[in-house]
Amino acid sequence: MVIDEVWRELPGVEPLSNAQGGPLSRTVKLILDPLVIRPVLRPECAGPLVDPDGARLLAALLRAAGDVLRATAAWFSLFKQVRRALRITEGNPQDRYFQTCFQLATTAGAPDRDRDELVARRELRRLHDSAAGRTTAALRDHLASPAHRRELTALLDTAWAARGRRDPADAPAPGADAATPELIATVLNAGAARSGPAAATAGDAALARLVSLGAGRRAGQRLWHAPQAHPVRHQHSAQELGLTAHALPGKPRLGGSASTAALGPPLDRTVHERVFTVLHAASDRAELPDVAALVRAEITRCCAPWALADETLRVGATVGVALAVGLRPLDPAAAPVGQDAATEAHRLVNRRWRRESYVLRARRLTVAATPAGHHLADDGPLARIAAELHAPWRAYLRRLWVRLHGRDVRGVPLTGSAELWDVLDGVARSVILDHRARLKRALSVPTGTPPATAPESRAG
Amino acid sequence: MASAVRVLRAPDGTAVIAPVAAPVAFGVADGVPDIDVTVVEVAGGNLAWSVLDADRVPTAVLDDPDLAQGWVWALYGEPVALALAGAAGDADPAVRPGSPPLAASVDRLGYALWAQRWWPASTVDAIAPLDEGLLDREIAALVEECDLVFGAEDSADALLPAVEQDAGGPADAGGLAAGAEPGGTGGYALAAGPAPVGRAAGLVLARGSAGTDWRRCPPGLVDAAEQAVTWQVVRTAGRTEVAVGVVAAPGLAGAARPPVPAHLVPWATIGAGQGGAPAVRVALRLVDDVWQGSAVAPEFGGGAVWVDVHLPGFAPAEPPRADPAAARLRARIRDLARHRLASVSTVDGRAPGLGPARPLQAEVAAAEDEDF
Repeated sequence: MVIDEVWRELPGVEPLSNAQGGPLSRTVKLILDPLVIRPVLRPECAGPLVDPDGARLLAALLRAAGDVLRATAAWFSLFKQVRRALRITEGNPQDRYFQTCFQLATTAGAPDRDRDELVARRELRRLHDSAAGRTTAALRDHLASPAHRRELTALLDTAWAARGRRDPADAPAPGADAATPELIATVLNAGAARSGPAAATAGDAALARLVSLGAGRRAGQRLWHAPQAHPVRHQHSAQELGLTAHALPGKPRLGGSASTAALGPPLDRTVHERVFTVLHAASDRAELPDVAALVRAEITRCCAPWALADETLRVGATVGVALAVGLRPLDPAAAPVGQDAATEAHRLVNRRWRRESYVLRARRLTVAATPAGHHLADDGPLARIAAELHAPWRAYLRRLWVRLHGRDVRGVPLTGSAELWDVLDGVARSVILDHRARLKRALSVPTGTPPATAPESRAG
Repeated sequence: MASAVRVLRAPDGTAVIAPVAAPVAFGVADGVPDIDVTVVEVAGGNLAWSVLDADRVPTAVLDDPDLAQGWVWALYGEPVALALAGAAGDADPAVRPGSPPLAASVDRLGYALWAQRWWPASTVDAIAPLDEGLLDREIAALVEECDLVFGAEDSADALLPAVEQDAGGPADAGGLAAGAEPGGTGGYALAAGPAPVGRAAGLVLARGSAGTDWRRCPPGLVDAAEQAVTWQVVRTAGRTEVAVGVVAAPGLAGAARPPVPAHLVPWATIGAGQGGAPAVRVALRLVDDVWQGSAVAPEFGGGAVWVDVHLPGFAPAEPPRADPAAARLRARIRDLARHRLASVSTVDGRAPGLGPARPLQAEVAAAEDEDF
């Protein structure tokens, strides 16, 4: 509110302002908060409400940044103008350009219309055309070469055959499997509770312990085999979890063509599809290894437990399963059943499902909880959506795997329970939004032109 | 005029800002919204209110109150923001939006989102449908105006249907099908009722008309009128049949429209009395602008015949208990729609700051729809 008031005094910042004249949400999130106010350095300016001293400091900081902000706004206008000229439509311009504009404003001041159009062009090209040879076409060509295929197929065969080989490190530490559920619950509670540094420390410690126990690796290895009957804890097979359509995951094929519309469950995807998905989604492709290295790394990865190379990410997947099997979108008030203790994370995500069910009713977007039996063609879109709600962990784990895989390819491990929670929570939100979008599509009565048979989004 | 609100806290950390006058009106946590409630998802939670409520102070359910502080001052005012933060102050602070233009835009957005799903389009009642393309575009513009309440969450864009870019039918998609006869229930009762069994010239044992429960079909399939459903029980050559006709939503029929996909075909459930004999269920088929179906009549033990229309997979097959309050609520919504269409000519559409009172562009177009 203080920000809003001072912002209105600043001249020339309209391109960064909302309809009411205050700063845009992304102006606050991407510019003011991290680059101007920096509440980490100035605790008196942090938090939702500030005291009078904090308010004075905030106002002073904003006024002092007035010139830079005005220059940022001018750069942003120029960027948008050049964006139109270059016919770029990719991404949200605020998300993509705000920080670059601020940086230019800080180093170069306000743009000069004539001279700096070239600068804007260069920056836009840098921000958008960063493929640097890592294109899906290059991938296809690489895999189309018979010599490559022979070599890579041999590599894949070797890696798959070696995957089950015992490693001394695989021998479980005494009591490791028994300790795992509790450690997972600690991680989940810590992430969702937002209850301060103590819980975060406990969560980080539990996560580190899971990593050192190899809990992710071992859980991933179990997915290669039929689950053993266990008197107390039910083990989920990869098929039950929706990671493969087969009884057991098979050796991935090399593959040669991919369209994201036809992607199968994660463990059934070809090497080509796995790399393709990363290239397709990445906006930072220049920072990836080259295509040949990507393919080789993917061959090793796809024969690793969870088809992930990094143990922190495999632990992330394992924790994700514990969360996912406790999701109750159809009856969010009910406690998760079975071995899975309800953690704060379960309660939080199920609460969100409950809120979603209210929103869906208010939007006239419902799905009958019990499939209407013989009246409903079982393969109809509504029946499919209802069936997904009965096994919500499948959609959840598919998306989670895609995100973890993306991090694995970029070499970004999970460093703490808060970071893991951001991933788990983000996936939960995406699954809910995806459910709503699919429902809306299924329920819209076609008008005018016949509807294109929209492929269901499965890329995660 | 300024209403007061109360800040409530649930044990799970959820905070609720609710009008003192109706503290539990929109129990987003547990309740089921009625058909007059609109919901806007905002940073940190939801806003909900009734579009029939002239006072329109939203109830906010916040599962992340800190995140919501980015906009609470603008919609509810600083005293409410302080109360939410747990600072001492008035027990029931008055609502004084820090940004009245934003409050008006949010109100308008909520109304537009509601109208997109619940507008009572009806040929029988002469309430013209709203053009989907116009509505989508206006919602997209309102979302931009309401940037502050959405925050910079990545999910904000996806929360709103219009920015999914899957909409945008042709501007004339909402028009009435050529050849349909506007206005008046008589034509439809004739078209609907006797058609399936009329040729047999049997003995009509009973006939009647009814409305549908809007919560049991998605928008765009059936006419919203309280006389949209007609039925008759006919005795012919030793068989008793019941024939049902349901007027289709305006514009559903017509040469330019693609056929309704199988999973969007509504069913009728026909029974007599409460409990007693089992009801019969029949899939309807669209004949011109009437959904039709007939079945061998169930054992009508003398009770009043009722017809329930629902889309399988969308709503449970079991019809809900008859509820006179639901019909009254539908009547109030029709009144609202008529009032809004009538006020198009009296309210200056370009006057800023009127919030929801200013007609939507789709309402202006609907009011000028010559077929209605």
